[in-house]
Amino acid sequence: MLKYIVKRILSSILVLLGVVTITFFISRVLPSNPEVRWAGQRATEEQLEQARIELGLDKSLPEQYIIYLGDLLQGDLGKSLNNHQPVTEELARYVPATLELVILAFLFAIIIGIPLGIYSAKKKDKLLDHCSRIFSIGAVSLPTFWVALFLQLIFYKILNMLPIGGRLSVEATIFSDVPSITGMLLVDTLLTGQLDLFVDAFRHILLPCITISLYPIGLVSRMTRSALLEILGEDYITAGRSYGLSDTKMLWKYALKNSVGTTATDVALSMGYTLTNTFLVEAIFSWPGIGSYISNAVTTLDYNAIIGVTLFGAVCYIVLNLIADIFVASDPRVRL
Amino acid sequence: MNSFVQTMKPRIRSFRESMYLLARNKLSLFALIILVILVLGAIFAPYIVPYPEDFYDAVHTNEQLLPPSAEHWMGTDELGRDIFSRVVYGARISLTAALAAVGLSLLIGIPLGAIAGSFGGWVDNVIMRITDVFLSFPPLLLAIAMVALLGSSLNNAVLAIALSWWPWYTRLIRGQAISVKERKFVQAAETIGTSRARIIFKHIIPNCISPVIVQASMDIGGVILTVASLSFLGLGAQLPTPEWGLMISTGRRFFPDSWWYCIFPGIAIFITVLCFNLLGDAIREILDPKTRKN
Amino acid sequence: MAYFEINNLKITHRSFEGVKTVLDIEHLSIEKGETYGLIGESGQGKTVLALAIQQLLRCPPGKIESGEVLLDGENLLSFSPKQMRRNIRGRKIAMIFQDPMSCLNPVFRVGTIMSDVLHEHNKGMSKKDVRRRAVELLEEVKLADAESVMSKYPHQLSGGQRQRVIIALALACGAEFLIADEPTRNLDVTIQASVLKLLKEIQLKHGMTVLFIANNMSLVSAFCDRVGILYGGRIIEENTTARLIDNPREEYTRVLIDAVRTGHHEHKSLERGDELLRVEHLKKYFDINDDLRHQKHLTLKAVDDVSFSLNRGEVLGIVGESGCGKSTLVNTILNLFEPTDGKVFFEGVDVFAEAAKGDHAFRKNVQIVFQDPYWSLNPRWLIKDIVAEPLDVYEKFNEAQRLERVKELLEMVGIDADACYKYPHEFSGGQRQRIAIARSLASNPKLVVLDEPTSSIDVFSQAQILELIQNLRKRFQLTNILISHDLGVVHALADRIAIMYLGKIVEIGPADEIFNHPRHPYTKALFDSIPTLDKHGMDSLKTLEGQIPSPINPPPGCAFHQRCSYACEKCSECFPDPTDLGNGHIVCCHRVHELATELEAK
Repeated sequence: MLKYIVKRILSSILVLLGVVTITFFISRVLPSNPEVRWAGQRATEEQLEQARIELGLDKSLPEQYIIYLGDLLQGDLGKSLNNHQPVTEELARYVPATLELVILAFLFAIIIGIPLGIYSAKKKDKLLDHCSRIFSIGAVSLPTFWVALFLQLIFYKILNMLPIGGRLSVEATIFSDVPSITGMLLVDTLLTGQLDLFVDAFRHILLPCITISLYPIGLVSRMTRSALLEILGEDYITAGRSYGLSDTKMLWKYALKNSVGTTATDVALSMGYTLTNTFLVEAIFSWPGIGSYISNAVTTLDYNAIIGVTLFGAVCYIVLNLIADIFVASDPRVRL
Repeated sequence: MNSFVQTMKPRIRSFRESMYLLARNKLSLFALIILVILVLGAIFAPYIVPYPEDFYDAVHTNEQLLPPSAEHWMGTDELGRDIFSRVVYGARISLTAALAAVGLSLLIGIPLGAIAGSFGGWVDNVIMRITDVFLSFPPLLLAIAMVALLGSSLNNAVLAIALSWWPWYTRLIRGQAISVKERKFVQAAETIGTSRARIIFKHIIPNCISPVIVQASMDIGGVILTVASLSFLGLGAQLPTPEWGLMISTGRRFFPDSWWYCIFPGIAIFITVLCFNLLGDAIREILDPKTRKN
Repeated sequence: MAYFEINNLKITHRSFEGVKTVLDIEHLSIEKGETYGLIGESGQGKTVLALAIQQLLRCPPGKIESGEVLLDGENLLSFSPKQMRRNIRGRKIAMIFQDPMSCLNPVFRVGTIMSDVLHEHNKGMSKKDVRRRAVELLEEVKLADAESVMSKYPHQLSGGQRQRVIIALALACGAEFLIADEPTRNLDVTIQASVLKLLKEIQLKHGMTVLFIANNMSLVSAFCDRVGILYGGRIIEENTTARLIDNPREEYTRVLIDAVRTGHHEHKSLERGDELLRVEHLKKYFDINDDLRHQKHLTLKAVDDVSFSLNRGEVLGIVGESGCGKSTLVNTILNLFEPTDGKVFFEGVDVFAEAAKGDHAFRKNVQIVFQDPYWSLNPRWLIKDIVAEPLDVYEKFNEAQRLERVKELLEMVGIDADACYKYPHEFSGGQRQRIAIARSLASNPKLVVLDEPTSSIDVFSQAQILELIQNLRKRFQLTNILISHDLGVVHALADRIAIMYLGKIVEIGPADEIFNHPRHPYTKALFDSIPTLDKHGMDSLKTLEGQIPSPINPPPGCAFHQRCSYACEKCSECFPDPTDLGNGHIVCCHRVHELATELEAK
């Protein structure tokens, strides 16, 4: 088991190297004239030359690759082409807000998605199953960015129940002392015991959170359902029933344990979608996270920033899949 | 001719069987009908919409941002163009873009997967490690990075989606190829002395392609969503193309006051993707050997 | 009134082709304590019945149209699912399934599975008692070291052990009525006999009533009191076992009986010619890496130092249990696997040396017919292309010549020429096997390998295929290697027999001599444990203790010594040299001379 984990970690590192190579390739080969963006549109030829040297573009590609790897090892993602700030520092500033959003949405996905899938499988072909299937298939068919707008229309414009965007209301930021311990407001306000701020932050996070968790909820419940149904069709379930074990026990003890492996993988995939969805909707909710950061970078073609975010996303995703795989390995059959 | 008919017979039968199973599921039948209407709408868009001149950059100065009415079922946009006409035309753009992206991924994915699965050994190892790397990016993120640096356009978006989507097909077809390779008819061909190339192209590939095609058709919904997302970020179709994601993105400036601008293209995306997914679910069920056996 | 009764039970199945009746049983009754054998081939509705009795049949697509299933006078079909679960399943009826692997949940230890079932039926029992009872039950089904079995996962057990666990589970419920659905189907023959014996013992001890479902007659004669023949969903004939075998009324019953009667087919030998194939010290080892178990570079000796020769016109039968290496042996001879060591000469030419030079003429002369005719034909090819595959490689025919030759070949195996434009799935198993035979003959081979040629087709076709093979042999002067575990088939075709155990040939010789006077203890045990019609009652079935050792780590010396009741010290030290008993009868046993009289006496 331990050996398997070590092996899996080593292979993840190898994959990571591949990821870095791809991002290097797209960042050095695809873009046109980054030096112009670095030095500005009206830069002279000398200034452009200077910019190329500063960006390291004067060296050969293999040299650039080595330097790039070395920088990455030190956690250096280069500097933003727009404001010449180190991308790593900027990311560190934006990550907590995104993390807060993603983790909460992910919890939603698990807390709602898995039970929904289980009940759907249990009541197969009954009304509840049909409803939950239509709901989950609808959830994965919705364009996230549109859902964001739609929810704003309903809850802000029409019902006026929830704020349209931001992390806190303006009054709160002016009149209260906003804590910054982890950077995640929900956690920080709880730690400092500022309940009113906590409620305010929660009201703000609700809409974006619902928006980005819809897809993962649908995905997780569909996958859970089909994994369970597959297992419920296995011979050992029929055998168990023929020995008089109750259906409830079969479902909750036997089938569920067998489906842990597939569900873990699906949860990792859905977390990937959660992460992606934040990129699409943070800007809509004026949420100051890496999604807003990349939207901004995309419009200004700040390639160091784009690549930085991409790498960050990939690393998160690889780690998640690693955890999921270790989960899967808890199945004794894997140790065959 | 006679031999052609005889060749087709068994396929017709299994098609009949599939239709039987499909018809049993009312919801998927409904989805199929909607999709057929959508495709027809996309093909004949210029002839059936009320304002075909509004597809691109027409301007009607005194009809800007009108709410939905009898003349403009979905209202008008900031240039006074009829949103309904543009949404119908958008189906054409989204469908072709999705088809192109899926087609391109298949073009990359099928040969690579077939080669990996049939040859095995180090070839397999190299190809699969590369797909692993591509699959370790969160969905969409690689496409965003690529298209951002390639330059924003619908063509580049399609290319970027294809470049980040193919590993799924490679994986799938490789798995198929490996299982087909174990079938006795492949061994039989080996004892007969059939050449390796012929075994791969005549025995292995034809037997592993159909699940991949099915998977690809089920993926079209997801790809439509991806195209729209890229366009929404400003990375796909460019103004004044009536692309759904782009329309929502432009409409945001007038949101929430002129809500119809954003809402209707979104509903179009939703319905299209939903129908593809419903149909995909039904197809998956049909192809599931367990359903078939029962 | 009988203990168990079925009256007018009709079950239908709905599919795209419409509604089909899968089971239509007018009357079936079983007395208390009786063993009733229900015989039918796959697809005749046996399992449907077993599941329907317990309300485990999936509806839809299945539907119980009418009828009643009475147990102790109560109609089970009228019970609610809850009543069924509370009062019937497990409590009164327990089932033993075909495949012991797939019906044990792979992620739970045997102990957990056992305790769950025990707990379900004894709600008040303490954890400790449950565990003690579970161990008792495992001991009752003769699992050595029951304590350690408790803590194992199903995949860590052998097939025979798993089936014993299943039997223990059935016992745990305390049921009086046992449905055994082909309980030994996926077990090795030597294991099969011991599981059957155990089942009988338990039945007698607990006074159980058994519905024994099987797909052939061989097991029934030893196990059942009465037998019913299921064909097309109906019971076409029913009688006490002895009377049914001696005096079958229906044609189908007769075919079923003949199929398992050894020596029934007339054996026709061809005149033997010179040596066609010689195998010298052939070895095929597989390297296995087991990362998760921290074991590297294990060697699986699938074929370990095998030598034999084959003359023109001869049929060599290779017999052995699954995993003994008989398929690997053939695949290595055919050069489908890279040999580890050894040589194969075909017509005096070193096959491996020629292949290394890139000359595959050998392939043209040696063909194979596989066991499963469905997967041996490419489902996407037309029959004409399938049969012509060797022609495309070896002949330069134009389309018309090609088609003509295909039609000729099809006619030879008794398939209509209009089959050319059909696909394999349009044919029955027997027809597909004919097509596979036609293909194997297309390149005019000198040697055809038959790998279990009849074991996955229905009994009706089996006899016909055997006859076809006999005729074709005569017509084309074919030489064959026959792999089979079915002694009837071996009897009908083989001139010589080789017995394999764990990668080695332990005995080889003329068929008659080996059948009548087996000289290796394993051969003797193997023949004894194969149930045949001549064996009545369980006592006639000899069992072989222990399980087949793993070929990865075979016991030293003679691999059979741990299970051999005649083993001496020497047997565990070195593998015996072959002893020639004359007439080409060769045995590898240290005690071959001493045992001659003893084996004969038994």
